[in-house]
Parts: sequence; C-alpha cells; structure tokens
Amino acid sequence: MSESPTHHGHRGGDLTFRAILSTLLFAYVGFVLAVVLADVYWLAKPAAGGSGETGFSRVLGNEDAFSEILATLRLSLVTSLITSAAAMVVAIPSAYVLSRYRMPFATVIDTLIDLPIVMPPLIAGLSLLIFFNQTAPGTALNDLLDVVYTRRGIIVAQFFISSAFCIRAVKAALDQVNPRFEDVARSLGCGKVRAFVQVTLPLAKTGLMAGWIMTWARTLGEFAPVMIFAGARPWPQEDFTAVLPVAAFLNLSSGHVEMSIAITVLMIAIAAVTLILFKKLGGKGYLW
Amino acid sequence: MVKTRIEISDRRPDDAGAIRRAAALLRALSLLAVLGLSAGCGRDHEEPAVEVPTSMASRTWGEATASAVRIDAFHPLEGEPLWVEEWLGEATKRHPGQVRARLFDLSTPAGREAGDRLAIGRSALLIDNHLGFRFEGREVWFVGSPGARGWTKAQWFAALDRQVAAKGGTGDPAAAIQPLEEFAGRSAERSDSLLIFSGAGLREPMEAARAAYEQETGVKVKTLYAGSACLLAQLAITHRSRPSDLYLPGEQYYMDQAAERGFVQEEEAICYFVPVIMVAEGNPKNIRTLQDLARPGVRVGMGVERVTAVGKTSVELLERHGLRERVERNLVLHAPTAPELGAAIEIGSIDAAINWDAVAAWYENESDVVTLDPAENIIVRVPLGLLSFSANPRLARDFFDFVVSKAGRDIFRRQRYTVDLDHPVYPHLAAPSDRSSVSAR
Repeated sequence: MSESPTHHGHRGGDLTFRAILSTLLFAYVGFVLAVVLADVYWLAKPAAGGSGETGFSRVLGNEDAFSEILATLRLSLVTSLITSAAAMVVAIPSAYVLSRYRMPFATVIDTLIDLPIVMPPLIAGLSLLIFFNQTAPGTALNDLLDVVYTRRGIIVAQFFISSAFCIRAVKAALDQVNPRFEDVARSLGCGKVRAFVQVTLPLAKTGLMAGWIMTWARTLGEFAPVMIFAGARPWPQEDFTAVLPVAAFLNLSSGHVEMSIAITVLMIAIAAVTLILFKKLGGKGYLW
Repeated sequence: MVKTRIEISDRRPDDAGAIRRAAALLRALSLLAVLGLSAGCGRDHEEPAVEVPTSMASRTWGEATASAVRIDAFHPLEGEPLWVEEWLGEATKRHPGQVRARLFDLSTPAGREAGDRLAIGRSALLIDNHLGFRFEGREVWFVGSPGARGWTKAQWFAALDRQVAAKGGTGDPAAAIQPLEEFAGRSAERSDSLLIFSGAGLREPMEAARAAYEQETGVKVKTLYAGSACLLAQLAITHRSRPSDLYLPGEQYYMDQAAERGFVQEEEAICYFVPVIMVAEGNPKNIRTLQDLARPGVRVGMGVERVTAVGKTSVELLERHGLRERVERNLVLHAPTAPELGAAIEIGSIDAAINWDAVAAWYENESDVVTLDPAENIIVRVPLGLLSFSANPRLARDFFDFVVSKAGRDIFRRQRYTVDLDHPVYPHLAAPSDRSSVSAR
C-alpha cells in the first residue's frame, strides 16, 4: 500500500546498513575460519629441518600416536554417548516438571541447575572429589560404584556438568509444545502418561534430538572435571581414562605439540559435523 | 589391542567382591537414611578396628588392660630405631599403668604382617589406632621420622597425654588436640595395584618406567598425570579413601608442601632440571652466554615467574648475574609452561629462551642449545616421594626402589633427562662440572 518513492529512498540506506553489518559478520567468521584452518595448515607444513616431514605424517606415520588417537577417540565416543543418554533420561522428566508445573522454590531449583554451568570447571572437578571422598554419603556411594579415578568417574564428571545443559535444552523444546494439545488428548479419554508419551514427546521430537546432540557435543569436550575426578591416565595404560581433551593436554605438556593439535583438529571436525546436524534438526538452543 | 567395552577396573569376580559390594550397598542405604534424619555429614562411618596380635610385636612395655591407651610403633626397615624404643619407655613411665606400648619390627615377617594389616609400611606411631591428630586446626600425622616430616616429639607426647586424659575421664572434650579419623582398618580393601601421581611433563619417562615394571612384575601400576599443584590437591582430598603410593611433582616446592602435610615418608631426587638457552637452528643471532640475551634486537621468551618452575628459576638466574632488568627489556613472550617456550622457538616467534635441558631436548630437531657454566647455573632437583598412605606399602616401596635404582634412572636417562650431574644431557664443554651451585629448593 505504501509503495511510495520515499520508501525506495530508504532502500538505499538499508543496503548500506546491511553491507556494513555483513562486513563485520564476514570478518569475524573469516577470523574463526582462519584460526581453525591455521591448525590444519601448521600440521600439513613440512618441518623446518628440511626432512619433508609434516605434523600429519608424524602423527599418522607413527603407529603409537595413531593407536593413541584411535583408542582415545573410542573412549570419548563411548563415554559421551552413555553420559548424554543418561542426561536425557534425567532431563526429560525434570524439564517437563519445570516447564508445566508451578513449584515452590522454583527460582531456587532453577538456580541450582545453573550452578554446574557457572562453576569454574577445575573447581567442579575438585568439588566432586571432595563429595565422593570426604563426606559419608559420598564415600558410601563410591564404595558402591567405584567412581574415583576410574572410567565410571569420567561418566560421573561429564554427567554432573552436561545434565544442566541438557535440562535447559530439553525445557526449551518442551516449552514450544502448546499444553493445550495434551489437554485435548486428555479430554478425549487419554491418560496423563499416554498424553505425555504419545502427544507431547512426538511434538517435541526434533527439539529433543537437537538437545541431545548439543549435550553430546558439550560432553565430548569436557576437560577439567574429567581430568581431576577420573584422573588423567593415558593410553596404553590398562583402563586408561584420558579422553580426547585430556589427551590433548597431556601431549602438549610432554612436548608433542603436533599430537595435541591433531587431536584438537579431530575434535573440531566432530563438533562441526555435530553442530551442522543440530541446526538441520532445528535446534535453537545455545552452546553456552 | 584396544578394548571396545567400558569394563571398569579392579572388579574381582569372586564371592568376596560380591559380598563386599552387598555390604557397601547396605551401608550406603543406611547412611542415606541416617542422612535424611541428621543433616550433618560427618566422620562417623565406623569401620571395625583391625586388631593386631601382640605375638607379632618384637617388644612390649606396660600391661594390657581395658583402660590402657594402646601405642603401636612400627620401626623402619633401615635407619635408627633407637629413638622409638626410648620414647615408648618414656611414655610408659610418664603414665604408669595407663599405657600399653608395642613395637613392631618391619624387618621381620611378623612385623611386616602386622604392618600390612594396618596398612603401614614405614615408621609410624599409632595412639589407639589414631595416626593423626588435629592441633588447633592443623593436621599432624605421626609418620616417618620426627622433625623431617613436619611433626615433633612434643606434639606426639601432647597427643598421648590427651588420649590418656580422655580414657581416664578427665579429658576436656573440647580440647585443642583431637584425634583424626581412624587410619587403620583399611587393609580389607587392599589391592594389588599401585596408584602414582606424576607431573605431566614427566609423562614419557614415567610411562616407560611403568611399562617396564608392569612387564617385570605383573603388578598393575595406575599412573595419573596432571600439573603438580593439581596433583597435590587430588592427593589432599583422596589420600585416605583412595590410598596412593608415589608422588612425582616437577618441582621440590610441591614435595615440601606434601611433606608438610605428612604425606611423604621418604623422597629421593630422580633427575635434575638444568637450565640452558634454546636458540633457533644454526644460532643465527650468535647467542653464547646469558649476557647475549640482553643485546638489543634479541627476542627473548621466559616462563611466567609465579606459575612455572622454569620461570622462577630463570629470574633467579638472571638476578644472580645482574641481568634481570636488561633481559626483561627484550622479553616478548611470557609462557605459562616450559613446552610452550620450545614451541615458540620452533615456530620462530622468539630468538632465545631459558628452558630446562630435558624440555629443550624435545625440540632438538628444530632448535639449538647453548649450555651455561654449571658453576654459574641454578640446577633444580626433581624428587620422587614415597607416600605414607599406601594400601600396599611393600609393593609401593618396591616400585619406589625400582625407579630410583640404576635400571629406573637409565629409563630417565634414555628419555634424555639429566640423571647424573657429571653427565648432563648437554655437557658444558668450557669448564668441568661443579656441583656447588645445586640448589635444593
């Protein structure tokens, strides 16, 4: 209706405005891409000695280094899958309660869920150690589960942090489902459980998938709490506990810069694929 | 071979394990129930005290009565046991009829058996099964020899007096001295594996030593790596519930901290860190001495003084030569870890860095090393500590002895660490070696 010439005048301004904003966006995206590619470039560059050896060839050509990466990757994948599945089991009911019911102390509960996220990771690991070693219920639990400095400890440390993210993501997904659908199902004779399982969950399906993938990616990168609580025991020790980020740290500390960068590149690749998947599935959460 | 399944360690498939687990489950449930009633979480989980028969003792003092305070002394495999006997005699004279003392000789099979039951492998003085006491908020553990391990004879007798008064009913329940959680009674949970805490920078030689020892003895050696400070925190929190055997920090400072808390029975230098100057391959800036680092146009890297041992030592070294201010004018990189200095030389962002010889050796293909005159240098020792809270003291000592033996040191030597100051990784050719400057920081 108001296709007036003045509006066209605005168009020009719009374009300039857009161009300026886009330039900043692309500059930043380019910066991130350059930093990531720099790692790859550094690994592919021949070493200064003139031997023609590159970081890649040092890592891939060395049987031990290759086996370490493979074994560590496997441990990381298995633990993070178990952890993210466990987090989902806790998060779906928890998030449903937070999303649908009015509770006393709702703010307090909400804040408690945020605590693992705001805690410095190093302190989170130490706090877990203190709980499982210095308190009566903690030591009893540890006697039962044997989690301190073991592989189970990896899952406990990851779970402590990741569940908080998972609950946030799942709540975001459930908030998007209009409760009226459930009410309609119930008015048609559907029980509360059936309405939840057959109506709400399918409606939130993509959001839940996205939440799970995000939690998993986050779990894969968990470093300090895992190192402190499960202990950094690298491959090839029996029942080693060093997951990918811990292995990257240990290799850097013993002078294997190439190994630690190679592990980082692998993690970046996994994270990139995961996050693209996350976005394709319609995830709208944030990787805090 | 890589295991695909996450099977968790230490699980013994025998009935004893199942029974222990069932007992643990019951205890967990009852404890959680108790917790529901009393919000406090305390030190009240009781473990049955392990009784050691007097027949295992090599000497006794006083009479065994129900009201007598029991002293159990373990005396070392070597060293001077005389002071222990003197003290026990003194203790029985000080409280006649109220003290019963027993001495266990760890060099005899019976004494070792007693030590194993109480999870004690080195000199230790227990008062009614308490190895540690809280003195006005500070924890004191009566292990190792007094003086060297951060406790005194006066403290031990004060703890004894307190215990005698408490048993006689004349003690003040809010006394300044309080016994710590029972130490003995953990032997049922003893395992046949060792738990080692090692600085991350010493990973390569420790992993090699671990693999060699495992192959030779079949004993499982779990070795945890992290920064020395982080390891100390882990030790402080878990040493009682998760008995640990050896501590190898990258720096004496952390060993002293651990010793002050009574964690360390014995320590020995396993290798040395010798400062050298790392330069780019071919030494294009022609750096020969520390003085050359002060030359205009030389880009210098150093470790951060407060964070890294190499940083602290570099600053001391420059101060000793009166070069600190002038070299700091050339400083372009403050690295939080020693390997980062090597990486910076490798990628060419600095011309020279003061670094440890062992770390410089990692970058040998991409850099050159300039040695310093040992007489003018500050050499740092790397100590290996035998911890006092081992669940398997004999095994722990065996591994300790292995690492400090010639075979163990040879592993460190092969990984290019300076084990013998007469034969450093990078010998200084200009002058003969001189140990007078070794600092025992």
